[in-house]
Amino acid sequence: MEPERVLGMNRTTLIVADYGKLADQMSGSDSVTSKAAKLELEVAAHAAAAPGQNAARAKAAKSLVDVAKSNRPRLVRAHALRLIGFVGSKADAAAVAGLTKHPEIGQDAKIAIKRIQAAK
Amino acid sequence: MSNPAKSAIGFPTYVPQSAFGANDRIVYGHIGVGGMGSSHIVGDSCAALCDVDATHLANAAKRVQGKPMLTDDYRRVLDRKDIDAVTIGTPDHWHAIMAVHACMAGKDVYSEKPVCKTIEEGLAMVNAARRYKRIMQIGAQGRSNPKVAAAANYLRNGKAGDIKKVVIWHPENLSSGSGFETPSNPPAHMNWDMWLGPIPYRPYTAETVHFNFRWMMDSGAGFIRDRGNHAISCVMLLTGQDAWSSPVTVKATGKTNPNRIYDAPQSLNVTWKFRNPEWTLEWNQPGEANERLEGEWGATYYGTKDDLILTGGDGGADTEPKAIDYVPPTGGFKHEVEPDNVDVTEKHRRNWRKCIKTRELPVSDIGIQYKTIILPIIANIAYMVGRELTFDPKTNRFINDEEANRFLSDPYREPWSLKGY
Repeated sequence: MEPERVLGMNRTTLIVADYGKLADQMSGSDSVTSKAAKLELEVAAHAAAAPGQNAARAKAAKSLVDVAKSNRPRLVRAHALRLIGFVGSKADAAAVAGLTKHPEIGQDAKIAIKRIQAAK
Repeated sequence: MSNPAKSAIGFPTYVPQSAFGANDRIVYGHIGVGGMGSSHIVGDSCAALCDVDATHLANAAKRVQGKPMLTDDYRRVLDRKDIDAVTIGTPDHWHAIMAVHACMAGKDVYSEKPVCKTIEEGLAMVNAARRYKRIMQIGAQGRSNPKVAAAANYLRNGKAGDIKKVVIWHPENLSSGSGFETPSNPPAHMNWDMWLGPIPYRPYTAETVHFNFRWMMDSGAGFIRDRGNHAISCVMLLTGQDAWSSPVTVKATGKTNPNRIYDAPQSLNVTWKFRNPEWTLEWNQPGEANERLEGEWGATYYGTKDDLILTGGDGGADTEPKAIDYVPPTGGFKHEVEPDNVDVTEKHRRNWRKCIKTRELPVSDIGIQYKTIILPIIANIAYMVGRELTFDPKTNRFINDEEANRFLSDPYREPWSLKGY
C-alpha cells in the first residue's frame, strides 16, 4: 500500500485519491496501515499540487480542510493541516482559521496559515 | 519568503577585530551536550551547560571545572555577558534558531552539522553572522582533514582534468527493522516541550529522540542532510564549486520503511545537474563503494583525465596514494589545515578558536556551508513533492514550482522565531 516516491509515478491515480478514506485508515489502530495512509495522503496532495493542476490542487485542499475540521484523532487532523499549508489557498487558510484556538491542533493551524500567507 | 541575505552570501575575507587580544581566554557556553555536542566541551573555560536532557547535563558537568550554570533553556546561556562563544550540538531543528540568537547576543558560534533545515534558516544564519560580525564555524570538519586536503590539492590542480561527475555512496538510513513504539509520557529528566521547540507537536517516543531524531523529517531528514553535509562539503571543496551560482536541477526517489515510525526515506537516490560548468552529482543510498578504496561512505570523482576516490570526509577520511603523495606546485592550489598534531575534530575547533581571535573567516564558514546544505535540502524537497525541480541560488527559490517554494521555510511553533527571543 505504501507508495514509493518515484519520479513520474501515476499521478492520475493519486489525484483521485479518497482523502477521507485515507484519513480514516490513518486513524486506525494498525500502525503499519496508519503510516501507509499518512504517506499516501502526502504523496497524493503533493502530486495534486504539481504545476498546472489547479483544479486537482483545489479539490485536494478542500478534502484536507474537511479532514482537519473533522473529529478524527489529533495527529490525523494535524497532518491534514500540514498538507493544507503546502497545497492550500488563502480561502483554505480562512477555512481553517477557526482552528487556531483549538487546544490540540491550534499551533498546527497557525503554521498552515503562516505557510499559505508567505507563499508568493 | 524574503531574501535578507542575498548580498551577504558572498565570501568576505575579513570581518572587523573584536575585543579579543592574542592571550585572552575564551569563555564558552555549551548547548546540547549529548552525543557529538559533548565532544566540544572545554572543561577549564566553561561558564554554562545547556541540555533538555538532565542526564546529559549531569554527565557533562562532571567534565567541567568549577560550577557552571546548568540549564535546559539556551536563552539563559545567551543572556550571560561573560560568555564569548557557544557550541551547538542539538538536533537539527534547533541549529538555526540558536545560532541566529547567539549572534544577536554577541556570541561566536560553532554549530554542528547539518547547517539547518530550510533555505530560510540558512540565509538567516549567514545574515546574522555578517550583520553581528560573528565567527560561525559549522562542524563539517572534513575541511580540517589532511586526507581531504590532499584530495583537494590533487583535483584542484587539474591532475584529473575537468570533473564531470561525482558519485557519492552511502549506506541506508538506520531506520530498518519493525515495530511501532507506543507513545508515552516523556521521562522526568527530559523537557519534551523544549526538545520539540519550533517543530510541530508530536508525542514522545524513545525511538525518535537522541540519535534517532535523524530519521524523522521534522527533526533530522536522513543521512543525506546529516552525513550528506560532510560528503557534499568535500565535493564542493574538491571541485572548486563553493561559490556555485547557476541554477541546479534535482530529482530524488526513495522509500521509507513501512514497519517503523520513521518518515525519512530509508533508501534515497538523488541526481543534481549543475550548469556553468556542467557536471553531475549523485547520492546513491545504498550505493557501492569503489573497489579501489573501501569505505563505509565516500565519493568517486570522475574527471576528463583521471578519477579519484575519497572515502569518508568528516573526522575520518582516506584517499588514494596518488593524491596523498602529490605535492602542489608553487603558486598552485593548496588547502591548508591546522598543523597541530591532534585529531581532525580538534583541528577544526582550533581553527574556530584561532578565528575568534583573528576575526578571519573559519575553514567551514557559514557562507560556504550554506551553499553546501542547499543541495540536500532541495533533494529532500524533490523527494517530498515527487518531481524534478530547478533551484536558482541567486534568488534562493525554485523556478516555476509554487508548491515547492513553500518548502523553503518551515513556520515555527510559537513562541519561536528567527527574529529573536
